[in-house]
Amino acid sequence: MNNPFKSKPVGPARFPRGSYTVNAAGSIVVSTLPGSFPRELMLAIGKVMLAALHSARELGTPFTELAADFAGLEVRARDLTGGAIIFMTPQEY
Amino acid sequence: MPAIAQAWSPTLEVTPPNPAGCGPSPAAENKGGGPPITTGNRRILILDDDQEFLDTYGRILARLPSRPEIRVANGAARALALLESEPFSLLIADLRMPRIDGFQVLMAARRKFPTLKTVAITGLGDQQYRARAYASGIDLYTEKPTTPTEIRLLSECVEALLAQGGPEGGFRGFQSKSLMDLIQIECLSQSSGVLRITRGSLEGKVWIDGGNVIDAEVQDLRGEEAFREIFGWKTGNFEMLPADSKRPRTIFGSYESLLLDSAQTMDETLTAEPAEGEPELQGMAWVLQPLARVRGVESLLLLTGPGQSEAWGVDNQEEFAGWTHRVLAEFQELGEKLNCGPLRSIEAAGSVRGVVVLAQNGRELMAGMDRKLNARQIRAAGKELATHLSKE
Repeated sequence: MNNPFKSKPVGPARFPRGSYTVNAAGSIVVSTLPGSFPRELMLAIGKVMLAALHSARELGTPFTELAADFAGLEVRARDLTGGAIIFMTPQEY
Repeated sequence: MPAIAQAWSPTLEVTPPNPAGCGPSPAAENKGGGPPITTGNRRILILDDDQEFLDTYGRILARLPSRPEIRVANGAARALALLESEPFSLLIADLRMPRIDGFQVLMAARRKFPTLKTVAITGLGDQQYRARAYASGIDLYTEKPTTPTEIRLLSECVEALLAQGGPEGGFRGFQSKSLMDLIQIECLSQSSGVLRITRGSLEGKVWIDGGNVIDAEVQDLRGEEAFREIFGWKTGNFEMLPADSKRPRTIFGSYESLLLDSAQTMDETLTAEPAEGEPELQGMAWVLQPLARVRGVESLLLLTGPGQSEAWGVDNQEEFAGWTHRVLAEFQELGEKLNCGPLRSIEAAGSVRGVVVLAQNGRELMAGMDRKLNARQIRAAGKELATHLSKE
C-alpha cells in the first residue's frame, strides 16, 4: 500500500551532457546544452571556472584545463585566452 | 687516550682577587717561564661583579682540555669593550648583578657577535629566567655551581660549547644547535624540565629529570619511539617548560645511549637510498610522505587548520594556501547550488605545473604535479592522493 506521506528520496539532480562557451566577461557565447537546463546555473558554473583560471594565472600557475569532479557531475573547462569552453559530463552517483 | 680527556679534574681553588678587576686572570697567565699556553684561538670572557667568582672560575676554566685563554670583566662596559677588541669564543655572564643587567649584556653581545657562544649564570633557580634566556638564544642557562660536582658539570658544558663549530641552522633559540646538543647540555647540567619542540603543526615533548631523559611524546607515540621521531626533526622551535615531577618514567636507559641509538637510527634512515623514481623525502613531515610518493607529485601543501599547514616544495606557501582555500570554498558552494553531490577533487593541467586540490576530514590539500602529466594522469593521481589522505 502506498504511503501518501512518504517523501521521495532526495538525490542529486540529473544533468545533461554538453558544452558551452563563455567569454572573459562570463557571458554565454554558444551552447550545445538543452534549453531546459537553467541558464542561471550555466552562468554560475562559468563564473566559478573563470575565477579559478584567472586567480591561478595571477599566482603564476596558468592552467590550460581545469576540472571539478563532483559525485554526480564532472565540469571541465578549457582556457580560451580569457574565456573558456566548459564541458559537462554527468556521472553515476 | 687522547690528551683532551686526560687528567682533567677542576677543583675549587680560591685565589687572591685580581685588584684590577679585569684583564687576564691569574690562571691564564703563563707562570714559571714554561712554553706559552696554546689556546687554539679559544677565548672566554667572564662577566660578574663578584671578583672572587671571576678569579675562581678564571682559574678553573683555564684548565679545560682546550686550554682557553680567560679574560674577566666586572662591569658591562668593560665586557663590551673587551668583546670589541678581541675575538672571543664564549661569554659567561651572571644575570643578577646589582648595577648591571647581565641579560642585556648577553643580548647585546649576541646581536653584535652572532657566532659568540653565551652562558647565563644565576644564583636564582627561576624557571622564567631560564625560558627567557633560552628563548633569547643563549646557549646555556645554569645556576651558579657551588659544589665540586656542579663545577665539573659546568666546566664540561663550557668545554662542549667551545668544541662546537659555526652555526648551521637548527632550532630557533638555539641557532647553532641540533636537538642532540640541546638535550646533551640539559642532561650534562643535570637539569629538570620539559623541552617542548614544535615543528609546523607537530608538537613534541621531552621530559628531563635531574639530567635523565625520562619520557618523550609526539602525537600518539610515547617513550623512546617518540624520542626518535622528535630527534629526526632538523628544524623547529623550542621552549623549556618547568619540570613535571609527576611524569611517569618510560625511558630508563642513559641519555648518552638514547642519543647514540637515535643518531644511529637517523643515520640509517638518511643513508638509505630512495627507491628509483621516489622523491627525496628527507626532512618532510611524515603526514606528507605517502602523498609525495604518488606519481607526478612535485609539491604539497596540506592545510590542517586555521593558520596551520605542512608544506613540501611550495615556494609562496601563503598565497597558495589562500588560493586553495578560496577555490575549494567556491566550488563547494557551486556544488550545493547545482545539487550534484559532494566535491571529490579539483584538477588542473598547466604549462608550469598541474594541480590537484582536495578537501577531506577538515583538511585541504593542494598538490603541485609534473607539467608533463596529461589531464587523465592528473585525475588518476588525484584519486590516489584522495585515498592516502582518507587513511591519515
